[in-house]
Amino acid sequence: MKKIPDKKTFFGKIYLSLRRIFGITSSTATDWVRSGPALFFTFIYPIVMILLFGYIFGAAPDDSLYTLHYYNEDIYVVGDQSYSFNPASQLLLELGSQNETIAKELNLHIVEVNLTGSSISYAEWMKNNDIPYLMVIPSGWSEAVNESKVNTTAPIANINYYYDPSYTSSFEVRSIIDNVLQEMNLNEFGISTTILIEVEPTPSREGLDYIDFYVPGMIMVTISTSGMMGMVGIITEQRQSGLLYKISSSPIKKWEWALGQQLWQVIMGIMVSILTILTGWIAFDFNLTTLHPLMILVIIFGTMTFAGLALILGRFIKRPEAAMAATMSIVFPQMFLSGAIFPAEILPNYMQIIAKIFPLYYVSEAMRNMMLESTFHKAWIPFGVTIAMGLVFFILGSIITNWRKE
Amino acid sequence: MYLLNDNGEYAIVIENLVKKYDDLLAVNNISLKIKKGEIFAFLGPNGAGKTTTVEILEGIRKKTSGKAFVLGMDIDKRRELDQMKKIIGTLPQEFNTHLNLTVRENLRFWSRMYAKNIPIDDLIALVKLEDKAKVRYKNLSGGLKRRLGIAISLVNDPELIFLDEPTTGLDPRARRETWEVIESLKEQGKTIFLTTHYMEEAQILADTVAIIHKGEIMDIGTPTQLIDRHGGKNRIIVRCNDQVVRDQIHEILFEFGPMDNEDGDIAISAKKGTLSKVVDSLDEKSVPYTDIITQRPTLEDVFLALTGEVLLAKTTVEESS
Repeated sequence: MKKIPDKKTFFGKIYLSLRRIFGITSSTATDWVRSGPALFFTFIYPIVMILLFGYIFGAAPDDSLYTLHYYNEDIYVVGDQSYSFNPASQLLLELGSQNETIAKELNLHIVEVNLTGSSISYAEWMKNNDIPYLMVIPSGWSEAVNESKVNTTAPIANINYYYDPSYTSSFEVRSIIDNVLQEMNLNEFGISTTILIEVEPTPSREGLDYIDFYVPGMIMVTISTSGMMGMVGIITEQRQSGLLYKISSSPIKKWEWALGQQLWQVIMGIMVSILTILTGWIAFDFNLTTLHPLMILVIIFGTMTFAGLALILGRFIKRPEAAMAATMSIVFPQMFLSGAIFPAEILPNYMQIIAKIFPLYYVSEAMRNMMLESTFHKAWIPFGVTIAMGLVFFILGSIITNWRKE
Repeated sequence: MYLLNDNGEYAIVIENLVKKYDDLLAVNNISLKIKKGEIFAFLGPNGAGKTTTVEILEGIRKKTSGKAFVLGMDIDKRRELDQMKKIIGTLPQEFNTHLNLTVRENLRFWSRMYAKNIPIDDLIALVKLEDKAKVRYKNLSGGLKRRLGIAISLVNDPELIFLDEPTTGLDPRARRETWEVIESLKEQGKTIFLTTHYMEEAQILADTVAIIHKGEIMDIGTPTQLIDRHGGKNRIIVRCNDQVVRDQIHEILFEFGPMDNEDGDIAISAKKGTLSKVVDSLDEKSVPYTDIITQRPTLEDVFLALTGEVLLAKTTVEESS
């Protein structure tokens, strides 16, 4: 018969509590590690997220050239040779198709199409060929441009732009064409550019890319998602299988069980963070020097916040199927509104107020501001809020979660 | 009121226990005392209130009213309830443990929850799971899962063990093996609170049986006492498979009192010496009956007499052998 010595003493009680807490942590961990799908999806999730959003928002411009198809009706044909009737239209075409440097700067790649003799409308041709935008230089356009140079009352020389409104990039391409035409207008009338905007990052952010700011937010998004879903899943599944009730009939205290589970979530959070950082580093050259030691506390207390929230949620959700839907309804708005993926500043004012309701807002703010010396002073308030939230939600979760039958 | 006037003789004392779910009265004012060291069986059909009562006693379900003391501790008092949980063992009706942990790992996990532990190897040997010690819980058969459940309920060497439907869903062999484990626990002096809807299980294992029906205890006693009180007399059953023979038997046995027809067989109440007289009478007339047996009343008859209903879940001794 094995017996814990001096179990009635203070240290005996501490020993027993720790034994129970680590027992819960290690059994949950072993159970989880051995369940293949859970292991796979928990680790694949942050990788997919960082790659997905990293490529969407952090890709280099040369990777995302827009392809503009154009049809030039304004061609003067002599014998076998066709050439642009007017230097103006020639210039427009060269901007995109021949000058590679300018094309890259404009993110525009131009492809000429010949629709001469086509029996279908431009719109129909675009639909048939899955073309999102088409620029048409109408016949006589160059002549009209020349006319307007000498006659100020001459009609405006328009080109035609056809686009599919379901492509958001169609507005960006139109803006590029507008810029080129504007430049042409200035050149044609001999006006030189005298005012320009010069873009330069602040010294403290020099050398940092979008991905460097994105990774910390992504870590917290992943922790909040896997923390909440994992914890709610554990509670509801253990309740449904009866394991939770069996545990509640043993001497383990509710806070010991909650702490054991949270400890596992914290370990998972740290593992997921390391994985996210490594993926960001390998795929996008994430700048590791931006990491601050205090971030580990943000990860720990952030995880406690979300796991505590999950304990509260698990009190009201009885079945695992419902748990998934309910957790998603919190996780997703939080993910997009809290500023973890998109800067909260781009949101409308009222949405920015809503964003501050979500714990993820403070956790992400703390992480992001800790990255730079110049913004570190701004990290203290969200950092303090994160620590407080972690403690409050853990205590509340431990009190509110229910493991007795009703 | 007999609460706590037991000088430590009773493991469980319940007084006027009530559990209501809205309009449903799941446990209706039950009172009972269970002696230390005995196997007590709560016998009744599904939905009778057995599990609800056990869960209240285990401290995982709140009662509506009444008092209950488990091993002398008041389950209403938090500190005493916590103390009580250290010295009881439980096997819930819907028992489950960590699916991906092995038998040994699961036992180690549950051992960590208690200050007092029985060596894991002893527990594995007790429930004869030596060759399954490294098998994950999810890969065990139903019977082996229940046996592990019993082992888990013993990790803290409890004084009192609640076994809620320990053999439900098991095949006859697994059931028989589980009974052997339960009997060995009794030999170790443990008190066992068993719930079952198998009358044979209660009859074979229990020292005391309480018949529960619709939340009420209909009667409590040893199986023999209950049978004597409510089971009626022994019966003689004459078996035959021919209508002409059946008519002959009817005519001959008329003098022995009222007869029942049971699936083509003829049954009469047995008094002392009746059996030899019946055999003599039938042999004298050379009646070609198939078989003649005597049948003692069972707890099934007791349940029928007390509730007017049949206890549907049956497992026969023949089935188990």
